[in-house]
Amino acid sequence: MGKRFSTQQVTKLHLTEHELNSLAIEVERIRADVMKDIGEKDARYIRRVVKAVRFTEILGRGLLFFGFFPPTWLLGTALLSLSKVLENMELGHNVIHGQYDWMKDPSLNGKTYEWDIAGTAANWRKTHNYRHHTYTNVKDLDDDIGYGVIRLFPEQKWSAKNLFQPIYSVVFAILFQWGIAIQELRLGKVFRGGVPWSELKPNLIAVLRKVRFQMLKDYVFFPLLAFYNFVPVFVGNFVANLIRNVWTFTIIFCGHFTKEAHLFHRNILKNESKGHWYARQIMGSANLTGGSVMHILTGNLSHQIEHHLFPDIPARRYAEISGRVRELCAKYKIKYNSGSLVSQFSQVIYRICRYSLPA
Amino acid sequence: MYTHVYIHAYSKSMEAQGLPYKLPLYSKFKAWGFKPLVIDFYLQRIWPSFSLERIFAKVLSVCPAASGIVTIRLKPNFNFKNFEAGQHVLLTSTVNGHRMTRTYSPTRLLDNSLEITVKKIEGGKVSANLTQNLKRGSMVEITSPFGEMTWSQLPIADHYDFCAGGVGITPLRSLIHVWDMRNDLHAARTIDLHYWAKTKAEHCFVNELGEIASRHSGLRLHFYTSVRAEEKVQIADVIMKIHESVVVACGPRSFVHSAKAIAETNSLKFVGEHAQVASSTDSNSSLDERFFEINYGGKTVLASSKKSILESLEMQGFEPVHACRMGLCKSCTCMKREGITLSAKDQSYSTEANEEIQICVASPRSPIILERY
Repeated sequence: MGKRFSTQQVTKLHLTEHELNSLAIEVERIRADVMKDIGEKDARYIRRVVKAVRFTEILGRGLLFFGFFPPTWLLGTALLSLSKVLENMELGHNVIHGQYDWMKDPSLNGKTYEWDIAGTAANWRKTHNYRHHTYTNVKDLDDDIGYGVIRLFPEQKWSAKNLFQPIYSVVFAILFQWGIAIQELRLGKVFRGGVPWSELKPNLIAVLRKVRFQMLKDYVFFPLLAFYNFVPVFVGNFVANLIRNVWTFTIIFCGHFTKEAHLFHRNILKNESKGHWYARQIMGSANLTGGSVMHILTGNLSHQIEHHLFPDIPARRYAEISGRVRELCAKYKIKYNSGSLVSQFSQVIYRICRYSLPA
Repeated sequence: MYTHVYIHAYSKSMEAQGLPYKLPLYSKFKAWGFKPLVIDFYLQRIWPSFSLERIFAKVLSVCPAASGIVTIRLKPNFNFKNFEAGQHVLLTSTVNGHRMTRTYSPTRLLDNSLEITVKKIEGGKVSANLTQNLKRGSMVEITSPFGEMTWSQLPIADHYDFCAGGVGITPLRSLIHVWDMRNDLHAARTIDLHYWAKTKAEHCFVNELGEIASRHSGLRLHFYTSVRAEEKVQIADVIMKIHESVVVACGPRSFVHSAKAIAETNSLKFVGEHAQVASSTDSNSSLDERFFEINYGGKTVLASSKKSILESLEMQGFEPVHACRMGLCKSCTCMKREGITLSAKDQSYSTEANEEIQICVASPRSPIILERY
């Protein structure tokens, strides 16, 4: 069924030790240049993002209270969706990475920020900040490779359920926030008896508490507040969450599962140097082309490569350093994987469909 | 026998609890996920100093007090309470997008506003910002008051030697104001105020203190100019070596240490607080391995400058929370209350008090006080 993406599981990089060390020095020079410049402009930017999130939220929710009138409902839902997308991508994801910890603002602290999705920020720090960013695209270590349910590389084990993944991927995208919420619970291991209940319980309680808050907020409190307008508010909130889920699924999958994204064997981690880690981040990531609106709506994950090189630099800086990163990639002959949203996501869809079949 | 109290620049007791904690179910709402910071955002559009839990203060005036010194009058919001003369607050202002915090001792005025005195320190970021850029109508954030240098907590004695070094005059000025107002204090207790400043022009509140001294024979004022090497001699020369008197000192760390040493030598009771002046600096950039004390959640360990703080703590049996061990995931983040660290990630120094660090990549460059999360 079509041409298979070539086997890309990498066990050894093409760069020598000397080249990797040079690469590390040059990457860190870029980082140092940016960090010297971090200040008022970045603080002002993120505060504007916070204002945009809050004002679109209150306007969106306010309009939904008059959602009996279809245009009002549409506008209210659109604004609330925009608020949730911005809060998830440009604000929450970046703040939880600690990109704005230098401001010492308690409302923008990576350790304490709680975001507006079903998953807890604490679990996200473990699965994403730690596991995904440390073991990016390493098979059996990076849980984001298909999230344990979708087969995306021929090297992953095939089972009969994968035949249905073109269908359940759509469901997964619609319910993406719930997948994030339970990811750290590692329920597969729990059911296989690998994780004792005593270890699971505290985390499960924290997750259930967060889920309870999110459900009550969007599906009880605000609808009830709208009184006779309960249904438009309920449906509007549901659709806004759905739009946010599908958008984040799309951007995250485009970030690491395009045609030229590499999968790595865990042996590659042995004695991994800094330069080696940087090279692996570039080879396991993919960018999206587009203008500033695209960058903001994706939380600047349109620059996934730069994000993986510098996860704790304010994301708005990625666009300005992308030129230097691209030059570095050319110099060290590492593919700088970039394409439009349509092109990159088509490749993701192809992977989902192609590897639903046994390789 | 002597008593001494050293107050670090921060303690848990000074975190604002806020008025809403008196409301029923507020804590429960918070446990359920309610976010006070979101409510703060919306209400601050119409009431800029509003906060459910934090203390914001509006700047009412900024006036010169002496050479390179300004007096700032602040109106804190309803969360600020239980202030006693002699206590301190942490004041946070924003410098180039970075929120930076310093300790100041306010005086409460009759209209319940607070007055703080700020001296511009050479190379100081916060003092420069406050003395040059702060305008009427601006907003700063402060903490609940803290510190035990208050009349209710000072040892009772007939005589006090107040020793003020530079900006350390501010809490002692507050104490003198209260002493002036209360019959039970000025009738029974005498004070000798010894006030050191670098130059005569830098002495603050001279007229105000002089006016109080003119009304009370029990208050004697002594103003000195200082060069650091001579301070110790002068403190020893001037304090009254009366058994059962109390030496109360406030100023830079070395000044307070000198005063404490002299009080100990003379078996006098001692109460001291050192004022946080500016960012610390790593004056020793030697490549040799050095060892520093780390106070980690109340326990003291020795850590090597050649190892990360995480490694040093693990070697001594602690199990700090961590994950990536490369300064990436922020799992190991701790609050550094005092001290200097060097980050192996980007060779940057963390010199500010009350700053978060990643202990997996930070190594000590001075004694550190770390708070566990």
